[in-house]
Amino acid sequence: MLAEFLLTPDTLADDDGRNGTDVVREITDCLFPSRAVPVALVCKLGGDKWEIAASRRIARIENRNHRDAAMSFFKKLVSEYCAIRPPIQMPSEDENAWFNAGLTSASQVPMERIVVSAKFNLPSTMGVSLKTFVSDGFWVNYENPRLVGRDTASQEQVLRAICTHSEWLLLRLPQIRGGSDDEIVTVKQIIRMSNQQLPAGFSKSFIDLHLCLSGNLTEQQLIRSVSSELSSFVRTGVKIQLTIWPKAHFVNREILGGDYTKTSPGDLLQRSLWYITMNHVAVGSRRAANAGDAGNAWSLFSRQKAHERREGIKAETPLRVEVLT
Amino acid sequence: MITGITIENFKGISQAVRLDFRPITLLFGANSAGKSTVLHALHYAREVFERHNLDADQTIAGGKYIDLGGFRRLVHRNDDNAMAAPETPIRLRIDVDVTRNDLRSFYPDIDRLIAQTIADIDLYRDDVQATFEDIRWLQDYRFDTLFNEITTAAVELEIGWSSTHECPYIVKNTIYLDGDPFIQLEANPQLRGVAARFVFNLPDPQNPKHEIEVSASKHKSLTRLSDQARERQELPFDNSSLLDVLLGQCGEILSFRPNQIDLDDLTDALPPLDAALEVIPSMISPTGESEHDTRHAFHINLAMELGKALSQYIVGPCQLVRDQLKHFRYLGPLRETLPRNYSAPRFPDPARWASGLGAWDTLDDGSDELVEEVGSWLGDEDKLDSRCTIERRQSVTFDFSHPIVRKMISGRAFDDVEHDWSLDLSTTPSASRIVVVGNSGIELHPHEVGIGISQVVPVIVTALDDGERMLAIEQPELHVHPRLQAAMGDLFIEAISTKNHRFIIETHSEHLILRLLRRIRETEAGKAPENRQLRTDELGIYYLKQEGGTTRESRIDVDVKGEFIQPWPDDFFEIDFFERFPDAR
Repeated sequence: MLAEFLLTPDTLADDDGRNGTDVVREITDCLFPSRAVPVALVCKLGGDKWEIAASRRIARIENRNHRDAAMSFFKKLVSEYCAIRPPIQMPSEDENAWFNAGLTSASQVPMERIVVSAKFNLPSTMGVSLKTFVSDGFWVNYENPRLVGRDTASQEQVLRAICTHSEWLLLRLPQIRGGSDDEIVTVKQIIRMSNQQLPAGFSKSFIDLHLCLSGNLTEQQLIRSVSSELSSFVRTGVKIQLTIWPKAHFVNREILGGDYTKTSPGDLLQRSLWYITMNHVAVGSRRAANAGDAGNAWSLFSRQKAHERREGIKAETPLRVEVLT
Repeated sequence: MITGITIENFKGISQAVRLDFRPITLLFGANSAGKSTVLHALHYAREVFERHNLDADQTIAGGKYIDLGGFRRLVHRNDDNAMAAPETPIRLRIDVDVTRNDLRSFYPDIDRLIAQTIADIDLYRDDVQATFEDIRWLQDYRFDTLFNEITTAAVELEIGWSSTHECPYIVKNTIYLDGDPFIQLEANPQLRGVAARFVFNLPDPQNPKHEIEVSASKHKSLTRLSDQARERQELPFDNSSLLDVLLGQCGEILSFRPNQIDLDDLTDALPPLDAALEVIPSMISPTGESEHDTRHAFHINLAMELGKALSQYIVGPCQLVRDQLKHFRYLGPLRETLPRNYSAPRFPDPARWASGLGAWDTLDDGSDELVEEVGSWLGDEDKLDSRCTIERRQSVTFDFSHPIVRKMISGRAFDDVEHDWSLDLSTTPSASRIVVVGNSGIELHPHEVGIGISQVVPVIVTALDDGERMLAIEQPELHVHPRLQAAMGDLFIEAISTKNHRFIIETHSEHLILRLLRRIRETEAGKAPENRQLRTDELGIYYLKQEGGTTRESRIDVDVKGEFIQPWPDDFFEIDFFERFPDAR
């Protein structure tokens, strides 16, 4: 499942005392596994600053074959599997400074690990050497799909990266009926992680919550009760929209996330980046939480699938769309 | 300007493929995905609109380099049995921008109607005058004003096969104004007469279950005009649109069928495009009127005027499409090198552009400014920087028997030169030729230069010659160094801003698109050089692929950061990555 790493610029140029091309190939196998959806998200700490530092470091690789391989790898990495973190004050741009900047950023909003080059002396458990990073054992913890406990604490790790880096989130949860102990529990967790727990500089998410009518609830009743549950968030500035669908219009649980991008005329467009499905999400009842992760597989899909799913949902017409105020 | 095309049941395209053209439209996709088919559809459309050549093989713009093979070969999946009558028609829709080119006006002239009627009957009668008064409002509301606010028009043709006559014909012709279907002409396979219908219950091609209910009275442009006139209380009617009234009043007088006019003189649904429609006299029902009856004469003239009015709705958009297609120029993927004994033809042949020779013809015959501009693009460091340029050399030819030559040979050429002497060359045959000048100053004939330069010069000339053309270029990057491929992006950007050209470019060049994306990024940041600014809405990218036996299109939008908004459908940009890391696939 999606996890966020910082790779110091030196790591991207590290040959680990071996053939540099082999090292790049190993990193490639980890970040872009064949026939599997990549689960690693690499953060651009300070946006362009990291990208420029990394590209300069790669351009200085002396071995021609290693340099070409690293450039090719880096091009794919930045174009598809990077997310921006706000800048951190850095006294210098050596590997130690990048590592400390990563620690500072992770203290604001957690990230998974900071990957460092072989020559770097690890001062913290947050750090992981390149050698460990590319070992098979390291990736066991990030398998996709993976079983996730039906409680908010278990969900936090798998939701962290997508909540931190999305500018919009579309939540399609069929079991929300206006109470306070149904799947609204997960909605609240996601809103907190994607908005309230993010300090300045991080992008807050627009929440589009899709609900199905159920029982004898009318559209108005459902909107009123869910609005009431989420009103505290709205009051703090979180932008939430309810999209109401007919009864049993969808039964699967899905989360889509992405960012906003702009065209020259100024149109703001949603770009789909992440798409997760799951059998269950956390609800309020203790019995569900006690069920552990049995039968609760969460799956992350490719960006192409995310785009297709978003387009598919857009092609449908809901009963009603209500922006909460 | 042609702003879009929809193609259906044409060559490899089964289901409708819709492309919106922007100033620069790039067609990407694997080989045999259908990229060239889009260009062939434009060639075919030009044949249809310009020459009514429905059974086209060689084309005006493609010459011998594009052989469409005739109608039966063009119909999707009819290749296996090319002699069989195709069952499903080809559908082609061309969209045009009407803001820059107005629809031609055929407006009715009521004064002329009155004068002509009087002349016809050679008699003034009170009842005729009274009838004129009934429709005098037509004089004040000329039909050309209806189209003042129209911004887009489209013509959609269905081209089918007449088993009776063993030839293709235009089965249906639907005119769209501002996106709404407005009128539909339908011919019969006997090729006798066409019905023009104003009732718009056309099925939505995207959703057959849903009927579009667009009536003439709901057409937004007409409604808008009618509303404005009604507000001014100038129209003699309350609840109907202008067209409704026109059809109602004229229809009643002329005994039309409801919402339908029969155009008996037409053989198929694409009328002749240089004249107003002839709607008399067959549409007038026999009423027993004598030939000299005033009403009869009036009816004939009214019908003529109505025909003119309808012409603007029907002929106008078709004319506009035809005229825009005439500006279509095609540069094919295999540009010929100039032969050693090249000389430009006396009369320009548009088909020679397909092989690139048209570009050399234009240079040969073109202005010094064009030669200079092409030379600048070829050689300047901030342009293609190809280490060479082109220049024009002019020479005069003297025969050995010429007195000047004889004097020069004898060494006495200037013996008797006086102070104000000058050589009159006005009657001396002169010749000009284009030479390629390398960085070292060596001059070469075009046929002597490297293949890359011979391929890139036609692309430059195509982009810089003339203006306001639709330019289709296949593989501009052919035989060209990656650095030049990228610089071609700048060439196209400059040509859309300074020449108002529109490009449809079929390409496999990553370097070309990367330059365009870079310019978008720089434009947003305010860092793009002059004439290198490109906005996201000036670049259209389509990815075409074969899927389920048909070509399908995916539009890929670009944001201001020069990044794709939709994921690129294949590994085009990752070829080098997967070559280095094949196991990552």
